[in-house]
Amino acid sequence: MPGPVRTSDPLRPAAQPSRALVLVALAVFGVLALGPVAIMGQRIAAEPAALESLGDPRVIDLLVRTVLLGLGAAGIALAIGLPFGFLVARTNVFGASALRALGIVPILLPPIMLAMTWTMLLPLRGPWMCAFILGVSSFPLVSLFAARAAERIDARREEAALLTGGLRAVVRMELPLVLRPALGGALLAFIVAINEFALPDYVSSVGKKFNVYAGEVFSSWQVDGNEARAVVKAIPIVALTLIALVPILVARRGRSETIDASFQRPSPLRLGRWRLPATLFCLAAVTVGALLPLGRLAYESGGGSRVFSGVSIRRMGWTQGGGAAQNMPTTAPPTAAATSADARKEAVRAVQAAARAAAGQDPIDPKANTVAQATPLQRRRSVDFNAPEVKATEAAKKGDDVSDFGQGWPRFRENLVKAFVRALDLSRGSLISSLLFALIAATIALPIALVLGHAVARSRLGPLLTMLAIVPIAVPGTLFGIGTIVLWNHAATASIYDSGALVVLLFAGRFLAVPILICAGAVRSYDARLEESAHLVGAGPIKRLFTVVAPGVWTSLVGSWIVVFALSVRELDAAVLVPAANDTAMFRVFNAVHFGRDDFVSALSLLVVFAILLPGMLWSSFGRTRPRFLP
Amino acid sequence: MNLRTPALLDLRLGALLLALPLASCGDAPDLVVRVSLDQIFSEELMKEFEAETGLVVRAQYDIEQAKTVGHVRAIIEESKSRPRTDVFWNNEIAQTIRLAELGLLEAYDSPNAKDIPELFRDPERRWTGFGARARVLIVNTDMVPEGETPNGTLDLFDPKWAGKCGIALPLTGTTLTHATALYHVLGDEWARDFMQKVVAANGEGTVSLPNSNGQSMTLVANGELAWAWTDTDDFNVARMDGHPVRRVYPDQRAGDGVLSRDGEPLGTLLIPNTVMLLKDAPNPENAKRFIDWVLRREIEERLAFSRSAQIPVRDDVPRPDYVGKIGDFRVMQVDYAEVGKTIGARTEELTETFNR
Repeated sequence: MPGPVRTSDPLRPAAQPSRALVLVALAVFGVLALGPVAIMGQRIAAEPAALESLGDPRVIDLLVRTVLLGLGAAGIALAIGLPFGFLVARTNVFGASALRALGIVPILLPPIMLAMTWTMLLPLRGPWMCAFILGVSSFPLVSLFAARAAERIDARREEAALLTGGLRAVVRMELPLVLRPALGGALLAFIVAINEFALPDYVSSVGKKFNVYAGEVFSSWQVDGNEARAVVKAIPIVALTLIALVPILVARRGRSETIDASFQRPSPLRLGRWRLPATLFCLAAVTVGALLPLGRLAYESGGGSRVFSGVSIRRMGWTQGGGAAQNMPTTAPPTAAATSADARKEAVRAVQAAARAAAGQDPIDPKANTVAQATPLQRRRSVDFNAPEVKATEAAKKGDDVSDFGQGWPRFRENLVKAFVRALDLSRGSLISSLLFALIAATIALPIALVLGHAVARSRLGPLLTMLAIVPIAVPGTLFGIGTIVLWNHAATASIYDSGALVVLLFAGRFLAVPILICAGAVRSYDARLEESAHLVGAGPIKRLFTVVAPGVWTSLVGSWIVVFALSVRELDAAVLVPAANDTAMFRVFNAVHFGRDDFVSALSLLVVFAILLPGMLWSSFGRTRPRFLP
Repeated sequence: MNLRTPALLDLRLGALLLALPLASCGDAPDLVVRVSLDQIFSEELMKEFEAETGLVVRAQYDIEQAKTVGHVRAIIEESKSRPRTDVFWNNEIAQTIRLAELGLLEAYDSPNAKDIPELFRDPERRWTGFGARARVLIVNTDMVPEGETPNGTLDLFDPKWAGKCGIALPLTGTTLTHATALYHVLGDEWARDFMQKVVAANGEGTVSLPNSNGQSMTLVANGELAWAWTDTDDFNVARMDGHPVRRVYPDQRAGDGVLSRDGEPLGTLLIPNTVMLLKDAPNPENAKRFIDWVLRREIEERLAFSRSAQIPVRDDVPRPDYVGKIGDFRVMQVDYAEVGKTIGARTEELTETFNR
């Protein structure tokens, strides 16, 4: 049986990358991605004693706890992602293609959005809830690897197993082949989990606090003269990330093979009576990771309640007594304030709405329950509550936030539309900024990633380049953001620092690692003999790269672009420090969330999610092939 | 094959790579203002200033997650190479004094600050306070009958409230200032013991530690907690959104749960907004125009009538009844300068206490 052809021989001369081009790309990568990290690293050199802070038992405890959280999240991601990836890629589950596409969504959603939903739905908090949400959020990393590995199993091999032992034998034969790549995906899920601190902070806001190491890194920046220690604190996270990557890289280099002409694509396995349960499992996975959070946001956008079962259960527990809650006063009899809450809400909203509409959309509200006064500073006029437009506004506002499904679909739909119009109206500029920044960052990253990805795959220095490529995405966002300020805030680069260009460079630098790895994988599985042929007819390394390799891996280039775009739209931790980045949609979502959840916040969150998914959806709709994220 | 094509291609690509970031460059603004007063309150004012003066302002807002680290750290880092911020509008005071202590502020005695009480003005005029917030308890009225309302700081440890009360993690924002003030007012030993008790109570699940005052407010408004510490602006947002909440000024009258010093209730902490001119600001004249504008009485009035319900520090500035006056409640007597000087060290200590 002809096997796959190994093509990754780094010594194959015709496939060697252009040194000049690699040096140029490395220089750009060095400035954008490594510069902010290196410049912060200098602070350790200036104060080596700061390294002692890593020996603090408290810090070690936090690190151990964070590793355990990462392992938990990776375990959950593996438990969901491995079967999911295999089922949607290789079996006849109903709607496999749609489920496969939907299965990518959870990793693209900001984890905090999942947290906002799941803390409302479940009365669970603390480390288990954190691990659950992080696992659910990152299972696509596992399923992508698992699906791709499962697709690369030759049909003849599978048929042999099927003939000898049926479906059970197929699973026994294929599981080891899929497990190793899936474990690689689980390690990536581990990396995502150990770098997250906003989510554990949010999830443990009620009950016992669950602190993680990344929070310690963030807090370290608040103390004056502590910069060196703050940078030092990032070292374990970076080290853990690089250590976690070693097995992935070793495995990938060992498996760097391509599918040759003799490869026979396997046909979908027929699951028989297991088809429905398998479909339900896949549906449950995408529901938990994507449909439910998105549905919840849509429900809230339409005026649905922001308080859900988790709260109800907890409150029920209190009012029924027991345990520490036994001394809690029983539910208060409806006080005058409580009984009049709805009426008050209506009155306040009506006044706000009327005054805003009549006085020129001033978000600084006028005196509650009184007519807005024209102060010397204000250009707004006082409100005539008998004016038709005010009455109309009042009438329209009265329906806000009370629709729920109990009020029927038309009211829900009306509120939904209203919420989206308001979100678009107030945040149009931010959404456009987000899209533009992300679009430019992704476009800049692409050629650099192609050059360096090719170098990673074809040169002797591949493993070293990979490790270097990972560094900017492995360091905490705060460190990268501050490093970017330090690096670019000079007179010579003033026009960049003071403009949106800095945001673009920050996004491109921080996320370049991802397209580099995607391109490296794609190039590794691309037959080097084609480059050799081009070499024989006189094509130089640059021409080979752009006219032979690039067209051969173009679906991976599309995948790379989409990933950088999506990551850029949802970036917040580093961008928040940079002056020009505060007009992004994610920034607005987080500012709005601070003041509670309302239909506007939910609608804006959905718009951000839509922006994140937009290129992928467009490509899926109009492209003839799927974008590739893995070779 | 034509070997010249790649060079051309390379050139085109290079041009594209160069052009794309350049396309995102724009004209430098006339004024750079960092604002930690929440964006939903301050953005419209910034636009109004632009419209009135014709100046192009780059307003850098904050997010709850990045409080302190965001603005103060960025200002410190910028100052080391090339100061880019003209004005910092801080919604609290301790970090302002920290910046003053670091020598990063320029004195400016705004003519519009003449009627602001000296308590809220730096003797060296490096900063000026206005529109204040008070630390308060937000109480869910559906869950807590009027007679059962908590009274003060020590109610956090009352078994009656086990699992139903909270205070934001004191590592950022006004809760950090509050915690630092307790060290200053009641002594290091007492404050350390108190913080350890909060950590222990959280370990037992009896006191929750939300990540911000905004989240504390949301948890109470939604009924996930019966009451929590927050600021008057967050309380007012919940009130105006029609949530069943009431405001309690803590530590006002001697009694159970109330924190006292020398037999007198401690009162609650008042935290003014502060505005300051940064040292070596690139646009100092425009910065002064902005500071003068913000310190106008009308702005304090606007802030009082806004959803953030800031309490004017000038007694005679009009305000709605629900905002009240500074004399309406007992205020914790605290030396802001001392709090500001020690906030860095306290942050480190509190991080070690709470991040475990």
